[in-house]
Amino acid sequence: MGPLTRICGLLGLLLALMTTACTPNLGGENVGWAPVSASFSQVAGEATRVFVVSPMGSDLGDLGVLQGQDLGDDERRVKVRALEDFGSGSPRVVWTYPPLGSGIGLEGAFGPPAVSEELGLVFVGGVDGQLYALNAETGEETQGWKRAVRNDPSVEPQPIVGAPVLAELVNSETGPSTILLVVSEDGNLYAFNAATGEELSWSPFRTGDKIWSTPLVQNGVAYFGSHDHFVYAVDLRDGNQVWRYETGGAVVARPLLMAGKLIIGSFDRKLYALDADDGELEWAFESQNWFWAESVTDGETIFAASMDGYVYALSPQNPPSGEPKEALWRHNMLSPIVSAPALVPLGLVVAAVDGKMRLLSTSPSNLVDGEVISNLPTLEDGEIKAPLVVGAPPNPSLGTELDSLSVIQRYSVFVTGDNGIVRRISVTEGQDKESIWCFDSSIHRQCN
Amino acid sequence: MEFFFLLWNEVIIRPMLNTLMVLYVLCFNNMGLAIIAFTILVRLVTLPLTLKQVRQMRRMGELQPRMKEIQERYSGDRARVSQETMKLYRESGVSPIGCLGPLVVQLPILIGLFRVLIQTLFTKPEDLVDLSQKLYPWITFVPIHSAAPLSDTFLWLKLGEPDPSPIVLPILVAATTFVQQKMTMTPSPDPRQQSSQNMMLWMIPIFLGFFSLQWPSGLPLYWIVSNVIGVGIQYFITGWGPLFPLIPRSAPAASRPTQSAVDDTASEENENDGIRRTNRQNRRRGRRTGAEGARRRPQRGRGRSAK
Repeated sequence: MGPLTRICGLLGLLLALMTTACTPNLGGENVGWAPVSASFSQVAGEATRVFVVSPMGSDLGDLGVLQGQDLGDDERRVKVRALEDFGSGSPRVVWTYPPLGSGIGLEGAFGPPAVSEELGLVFVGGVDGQLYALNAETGEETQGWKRAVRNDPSVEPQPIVGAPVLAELVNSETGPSTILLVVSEDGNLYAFNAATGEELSWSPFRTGDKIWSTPLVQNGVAYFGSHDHFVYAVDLRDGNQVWRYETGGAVVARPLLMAGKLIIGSFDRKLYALDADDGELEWAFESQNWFWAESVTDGETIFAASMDGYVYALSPQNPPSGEPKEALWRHNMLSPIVSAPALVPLGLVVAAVDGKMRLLSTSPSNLVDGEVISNLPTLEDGEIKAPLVVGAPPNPSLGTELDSLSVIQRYSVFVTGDNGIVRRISVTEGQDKESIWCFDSSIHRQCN
Repeated sequence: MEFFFLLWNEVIIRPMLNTLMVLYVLCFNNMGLAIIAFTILVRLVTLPLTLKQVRQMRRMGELQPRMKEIQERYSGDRARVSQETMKLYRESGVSPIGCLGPLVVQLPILIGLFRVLIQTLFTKPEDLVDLSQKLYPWITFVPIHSAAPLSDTFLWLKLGEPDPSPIVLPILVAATTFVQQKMTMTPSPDPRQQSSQNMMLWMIPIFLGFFSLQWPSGLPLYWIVSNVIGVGIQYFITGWGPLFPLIPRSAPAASRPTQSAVDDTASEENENDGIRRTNRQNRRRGRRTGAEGARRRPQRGRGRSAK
């Protein structure tokens, strides 16, 4: 009896370990967060082109999109989709990359695609370490662009987590040009000529660890963070380091520039305000968890979201000497916030990982918990981690003047769930804050 | 079901994860050392259970001749054999499932550690989002929040991935499991039981070695260290046991007090537990502390006589 019991126990142990090992989400696929970007070049009449990198639905073949073709495992991964959005009704899929039925897919993507309206190109950085340069109209790969960012075939490409970034660079010898910045888990910042794909002579710029932080470019200087705890400022003309500042943890957030201050959060639970010129610390604000999301500003207040579930409103001014930085107000979303909030004329749109979305007032408030203008439609069955995209190009004079963009573009946000659900949500004054449309990109169907 | 997951998360996963994170920071941001320290901690916490298991198994071993007697006496009447065996267990204060205690404790620890290793060592963005919600915000005396994402390199290993060698860890897992099992094996009078026991003695290490080919190498590391500690504990209590029946213990003088201390602890525990013993049992207990008792411990006795 004794030995048998022991044997049964050990067998149970083995069985349990096997079961655990086979649990699908453990160390499973790295499909990303279904990031979305929008292009407002009005390529077809009043349409906006929306680019989303989202997973394939397992029943896509059954729904007749592929005339009942059986999709292979490789097809069932991630695709880049271009949607044409007329602002109402369901958007239309213009193209898919790799094409449906091709039997291949991307491994995944975390950063939103970079769209160059001038070049007509869409750049996607993949978890597979490849950079995809696609024709915005057709979705075809651009000839001449190398896929691997690292110019060494003997080295396995490392995942690209931060978003590719386009920037204008004025060179005294060659004149203005558009460059593309790509950060990699190999710890390097790469710079390419966006039109030709040629790598700049100084590229790459090396840091001490992985880079997930999407760079911010201002006046030819790229600001970004690294897992090595440093925030870097790099001159894009020569690739030289302007300054670097050491925080207490990994820096994965995208920085924000405001009135000469670089605002960036770290995994040491602090949000730093650094002098953009020399990297000197102005102030630091501490929360209860990491800062992952990019902060936003309306020009007067900084809105920073933390993984502790709070959105903090902070004044950019330095606190009185010796006193800790305090928040003007904070609002609890009761779920961590990874997705960068979006500013619209009515207020601040915040999305938490659990799919809840709220429109908060950005006006000075006496309420310590902030002021909720409206709860927005939640994203069920999916988690929101990709940055929110405002339904119009970012504009510092947002809400103060109208240009040719339609109202619906100004007063809406795009949000995606990691399951591939894309929503465009209206945040127009005086109207119900509801979905303008909902599209399940994984199965190419309208959703509720 | 949700309640179960909440319970599992709050009682097993979060405490383990935070402990591992604290150890990681204290062990110079080295996850391999943190896992070794964690294993030692787990073995220390479960030491009373381990000792209880060892004692139970030794008592079972002592009962084997009498069980054989029962089997011979009532051969053909399985119900009676079973009844008499249970009676014998009851009279001797042995619980037939007593040896399961440490296993029951180890099981959630192992599964939990598997989860924890994956959550701490896989450094995909999704994993880190999950990790952030499991760290205790009140732990400020050690900067565990700043420690993430963790460095997963240790010797030639990336602890979040299978052993790249790829056989060193699986072989060590199999070998240490075999050694520990062999040391704790209780000979059975029933040839069928003995043969199934022998089969499992080989099968379990082979299975574990095979599975550890796929496990993140932090888990085999835990298993190996845990087995080595287990072998050490077993050695100090029973010597090499059936592993090397002809090799005597290298330090019998040093181990004798340990042995008696274990027996004393056992006596105290049983008394504290309020187990009523028959006169016969008490007589057996008395004998066990004397010369005859020493002789009845088959492995140690054999080792000494060989010497």
